[in-house]
Amino acid sequence: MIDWMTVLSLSALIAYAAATLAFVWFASLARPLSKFVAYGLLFAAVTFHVATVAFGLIFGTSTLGALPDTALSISLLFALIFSGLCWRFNLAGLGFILAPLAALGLTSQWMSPAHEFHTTPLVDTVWLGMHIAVAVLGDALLLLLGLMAFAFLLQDRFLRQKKMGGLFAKLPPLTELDRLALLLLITTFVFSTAGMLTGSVLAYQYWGQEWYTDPRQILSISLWFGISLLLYGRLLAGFRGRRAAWCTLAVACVSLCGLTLLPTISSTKHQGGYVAH
Amino acid sequence: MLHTEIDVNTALVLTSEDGAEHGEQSDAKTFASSVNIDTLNMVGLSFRHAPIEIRERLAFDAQSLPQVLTSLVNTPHIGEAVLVNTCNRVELYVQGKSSETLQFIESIFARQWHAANESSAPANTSKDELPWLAEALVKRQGIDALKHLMTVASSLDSQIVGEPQVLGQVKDAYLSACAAGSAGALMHYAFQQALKVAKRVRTNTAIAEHAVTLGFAAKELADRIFGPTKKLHAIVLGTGDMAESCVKHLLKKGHTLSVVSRSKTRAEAFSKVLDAEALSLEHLAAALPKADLVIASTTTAKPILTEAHLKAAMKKRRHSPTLYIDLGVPRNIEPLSQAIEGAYLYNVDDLHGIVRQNTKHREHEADIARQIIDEEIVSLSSKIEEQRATKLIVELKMRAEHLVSQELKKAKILLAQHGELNEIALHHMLLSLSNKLLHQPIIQMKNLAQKGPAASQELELAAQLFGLNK
Repeated sequence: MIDWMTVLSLSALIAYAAATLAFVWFASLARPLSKFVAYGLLFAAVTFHVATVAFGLIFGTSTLGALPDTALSISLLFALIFSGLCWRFNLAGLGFILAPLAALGLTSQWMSPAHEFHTTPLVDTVWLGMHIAVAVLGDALLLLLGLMAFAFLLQDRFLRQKKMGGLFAKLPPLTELDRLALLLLITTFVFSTAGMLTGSVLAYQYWGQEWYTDPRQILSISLWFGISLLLYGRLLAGFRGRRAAWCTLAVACVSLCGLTLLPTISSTKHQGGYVAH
Repeated sequence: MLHTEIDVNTALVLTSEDGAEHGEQSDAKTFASSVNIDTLNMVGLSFRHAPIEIRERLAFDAQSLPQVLTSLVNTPHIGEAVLVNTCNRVELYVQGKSSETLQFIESIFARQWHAANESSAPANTSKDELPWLAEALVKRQGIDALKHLMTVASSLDSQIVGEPQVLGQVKDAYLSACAAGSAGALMHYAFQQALKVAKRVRTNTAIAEHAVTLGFAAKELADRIFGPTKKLHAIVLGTGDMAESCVKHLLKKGHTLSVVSRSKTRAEAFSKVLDAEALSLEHLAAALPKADLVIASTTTAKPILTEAHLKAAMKKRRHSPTLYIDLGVPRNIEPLSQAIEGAYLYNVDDLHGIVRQNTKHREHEADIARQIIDEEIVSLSSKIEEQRATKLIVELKMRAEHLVSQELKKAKILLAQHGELNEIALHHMLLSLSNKLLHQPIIQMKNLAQKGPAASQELELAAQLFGLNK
């Protein structure tokens, strides 16, 4: 019997790989045609990615909230938001970084060891669905924010070194990256706040008073403080440029590491979203 | 009023407001069947062969262009005409086969030269009166003329390779000829092919990317920092030619500009030219925090803008990015300033470095563009040869049919006289037909044979044509 989930995932992976090559072609040779080819391939990849996630959810092969499936969803949202932003901003120069990252998220389903996750009646509610949706969206936005900060640092470096940047010559303009980063920071703050609040209520109900001692909760709160500080600095204290970009990148990296490594290095009850037995 | 659009096959379709179509609409094959590319001639000169003093005298003004084109096609030597008149070239593309056509065009250029020099041009002015002009004029014929037109439209024969204006200028020249009624099937074919190739070059190469002049390099930097759409406020320090040239490239609609100079009078005069605000040097420090872009190009022994100036300005701007372009030698802005957060400082050597990198890049792209043109020319040449072969086959068939009908007439007369055709008469008739068919090839082969070994290739070809020596 054909494993459709694997077929769809592999198709998405191939399309992401082809899109990466097309974006490299665009970035290195700046052929006008290459941009359309790259966007076309990215669109195909995102379509297969959507189909993979939808197939998993409809036919129950994915457990919503399990770490590999969370990574699958985050990478999908990451690619979807990026594709959406491409309509408004000229981000083709970043495509060759984004496409492999989205593909990496896609491969997490094969890289992570298979765990059996069970939902308990308490957490199997609409409230949990909301928590997962906003938290996953917040994580995707934070990763995209990290990508913008990384691109800002690269563009700044090339401008200071007076080099046209070779493969990075087609990066978006510095002020556009800055504006986009602020936009993403505001939306990340909104979704991470919502994710943290919904998650805290759930954790309090399930774990009681001890919820705030869970390493995942501590990490989430720390990250939320980091994001809040960044937003305060950007909006009110004139904190911008390289230092702001480094701080943003640090927050995004901590979030990514926390999401992937925390369940394996600590005894957190929060593993991707569900309690593992 | 004429509108243009490029259709799927990139054949240019011209439609007037009443919907009437000018020129051909179908694809290249249809054109090729109705035109003889050998009759395409180009006569003209460009920056490569003539300095601006000559080019400006030979240029035709836009107002008199329709009249010039109409009078050209009313002469017996020219069937169609298009005049490509840009700052880099004056080229006349005409349809005509006779050798008088080229001489006639040369005489037109001679008359234009005389007219520009305000001397009365005699009616029979010819190239002999301006021998240097006949030498300076470049002539191309047939497929070479078409290749040249493709090279021009693709901006490979421009002073700045890849400059985008030339494609529009070639298109305008073609449209003017269409409006004047001087473009026919040949010009439609030639110009539509050239525009198609130019579009292919634009799409498949990055020839128009990357700045190759100081002004455009500064613009490219500004675009990398601010993007092409942001409305900027610029300060120009100094009133020299370099500053003016740089500002003209950088400033677009919606940008604002302040001109700072030691002399208030010069600042005011300069600001009038650029539609800017004039400031004296004392107001520079106060104006600096508002500027997104600062162009410094003044003669000074010591830097006018120090690190302290820039630090204070950037602090007030909350480190919002600012591009500082220092075109002055000695430098106008202290070099240490480039370490300040948000300040991007470029001096004249930095800009030249960028131009050098980009020139190399464009040269590489120009090579690719030339390959595209060569491919198109090979493809068109083979199509043209196909058309020629088809014509030959048709002619050959018609000739055979004519000979057959001649022999048939004779046979009918014999039949009428004798009531029947015997075997000898039939044999005689067929022999006569084959003799007539082979008469010309045999004569040509005998003539070739007289040339000796030089004709061996042609004889080999004849053997191939008749399927001999297998």
